[in-house]
Amino acid sequence: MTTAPSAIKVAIQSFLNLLQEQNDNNIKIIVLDKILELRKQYAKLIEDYITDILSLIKDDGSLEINQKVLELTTMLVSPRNIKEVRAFLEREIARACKMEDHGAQATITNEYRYLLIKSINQITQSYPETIPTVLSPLMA
Amino acid sequence: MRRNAIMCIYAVFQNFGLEIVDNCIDEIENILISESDISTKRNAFLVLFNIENERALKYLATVLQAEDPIAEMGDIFQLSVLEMLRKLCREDPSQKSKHMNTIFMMSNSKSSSVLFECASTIV
Repeated sequence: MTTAPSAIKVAIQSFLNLLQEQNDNNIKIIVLDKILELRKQYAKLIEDYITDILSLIKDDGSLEINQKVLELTTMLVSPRNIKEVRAFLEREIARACKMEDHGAQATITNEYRYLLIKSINQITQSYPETIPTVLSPLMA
Repeated sequence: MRRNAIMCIYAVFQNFGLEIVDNCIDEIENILISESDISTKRNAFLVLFNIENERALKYLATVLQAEDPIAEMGDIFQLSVLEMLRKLCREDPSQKSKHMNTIFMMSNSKSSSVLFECASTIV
């Protein structure tokens, strides 16, 4: 309805509050979709909230949510927040390595690793300077 | 019971026009002001808005002057207010800035569904 940056920020903040407060995965998915839609127009504004968005990936999070967060992160990377994203990727690679890859969890783990590598691939292509940081944990 | 009665009046209004329900408008406004049940209040507001939105907006303005209006309203009432404001802004974009403030106030609401609707309305 409006394009005023302050108004959009209020909206983004509300969405992020919802994401943090709600435990229901369905709600999270709907809200993430809303943010993904907003990104098309207001990517610059959402960039400022990347820390909050990155913290949405949790150990017990569902695959679909993690996928959406990774998707959003890949699209929001900019020279301003690349440091933060780099630290996040490093941490996530280490975590993905430790994840259970036998038995019932195997498909989920593999799928998540695949998604992670895919976004790392995309990010390193536009920001080659991140390669050394992500390469060492990947090789480990 | 009362909330359904109010919706009944609305249905009559939709089918037969304003003349038949003309004398009910004051009555609905009184209900809106004195009612304590929130769903009745919500329906009264909805009907009043659709019949005579000037009066509904006047009522909304008086409600908003209270100290902590959002906490007093109840979530379903807030949702209907948001819906009405959205409709108004779409019909008449020149009044948008006037209603935007109310919408921003809603974003302090405690209810998550109001929060979601509010954010979706803003963008």
